[in-house]
Amino acid sequence: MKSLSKVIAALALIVTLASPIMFATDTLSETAMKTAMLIAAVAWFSVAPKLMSPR
Amino acid sequence: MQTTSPAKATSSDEYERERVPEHATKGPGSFWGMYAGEHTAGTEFMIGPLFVAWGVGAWDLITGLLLGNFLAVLSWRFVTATVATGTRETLYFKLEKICGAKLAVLYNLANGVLFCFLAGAMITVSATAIGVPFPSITMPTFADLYPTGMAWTIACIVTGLLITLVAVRGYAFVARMSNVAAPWMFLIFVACGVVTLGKLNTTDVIALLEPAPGMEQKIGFWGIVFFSWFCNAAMHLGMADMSVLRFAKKPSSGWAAAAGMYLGHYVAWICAALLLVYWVRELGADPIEGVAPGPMVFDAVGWAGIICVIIAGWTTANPTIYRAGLAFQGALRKLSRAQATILAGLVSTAAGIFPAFAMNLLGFVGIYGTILAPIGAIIFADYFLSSRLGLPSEPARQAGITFNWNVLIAWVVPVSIALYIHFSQGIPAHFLPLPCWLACGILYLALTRLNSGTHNPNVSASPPSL
Repeated sequence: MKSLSKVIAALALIVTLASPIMFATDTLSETAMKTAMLIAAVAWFSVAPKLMSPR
Repeated sequence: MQTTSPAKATSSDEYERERVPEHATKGPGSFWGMYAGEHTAGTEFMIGPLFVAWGVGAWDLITGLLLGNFLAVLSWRFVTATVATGTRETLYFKLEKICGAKLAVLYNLANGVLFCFLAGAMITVSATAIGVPFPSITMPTFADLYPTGMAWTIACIVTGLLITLVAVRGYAFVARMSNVAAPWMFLIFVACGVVTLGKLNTTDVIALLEPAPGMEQKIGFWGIVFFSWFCNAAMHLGMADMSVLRFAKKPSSGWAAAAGMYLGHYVAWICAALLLVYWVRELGADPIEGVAPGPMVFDAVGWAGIICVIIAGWTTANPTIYRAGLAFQGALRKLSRAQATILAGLVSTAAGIFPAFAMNLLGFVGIYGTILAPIGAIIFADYFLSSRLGLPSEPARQAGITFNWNVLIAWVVPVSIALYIHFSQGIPAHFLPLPCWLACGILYLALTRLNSGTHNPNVSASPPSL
């Protein structure tokens, strides 16, 4: 479960950075970029608190 | 901008009034992430655009920030971290031993009030994001000093009260949220910059950051250097970050401040500046009046940006209100921790309603540093110079006094002169912390020599027992 969370967290950060780059290079529309970033934000805040909680 | 995490410095099991023991010290890894997170705050969305509004040149901005942030990192490394790991005490405890408990109350009050104004600026930034879905809210511009209407006032009150409520009831949760949000927030800043470049169809950042022809240049290279060096003056030369760095195993952990400076105060500021550049070039915004952060970030990256502005403002306003509450509690000892935090929250909320603090952030942080940083010079002088000059170290503790006039005079005189020069001559406030800091340290040593020195039988010149 923790491995899956790590993958989701990493993907969320990658999407947060990649979607604006894809928009800037005309490979993603503005609406799709904003939607992807919102989904990435939701994904990040869904898994990161558990991953980063103190042991 | 940043605020030191109060959880590290104030909870009862955090060695507030004793040396941090060796087993409680931490390696450098604990500090790199903390500094990176704390310097990617809501106020970064204001500072970048304000540089544009002040007509800064592209090279002045890029090279000035490089140098100024480097000097800030050196200050953290060689002043704050050295003293913090040498004493392993908080600023407040060390200061009390130098200036006495009663004078420390005065410093606490000044600290608390200035923290409230800073938190107010963060509330203002958050409110600009909350206002995006509500067209009835008139967003403030850089020129606004007063509330823009009833809807704006309500947005600020709701934001401020929510932040205060969380600060009273659940600081640990917010501190954790701040750490969780930090990497994502930094990427949102970068995304804003990338999207802006995409919309403007260029990668020539230098050309974009050049001010519009005919625009008055209110800040140049040295202004940028001094601003970026001293916007956190209270934390490094002012020694407030002793509270954090006293936990460092070695002074070299002070280098961790570089993460905050070059991610938050370099990349994030430039990305935030690009947002206003786009609005000026493509949407016809007046660079002098600017645009509130909420609408700019929403336009660039949508709802993820709104979430970022709210969280960035919230997670930084919270510890600021919390620390202001602690400072008030130190000054007004009858108040409980919760009452003091509520007082700080109400003052911050009132300040947040007035856009003056957020929209004049460049000036405000200079004043904030000018007032608070000189106290660090007294600690610097006491730690590095007192014993070498044959002067008493920690004189209030040694003499058993509660009010050290030498400290008060050394602090108030340079600060009063500096503030007079700022308000009467218009000298930018970011140039003032350094001369004030130097004058305060020299004056303190001179007065200590003059008024007590080695002749006072109650004060010995031996170094303090640590």
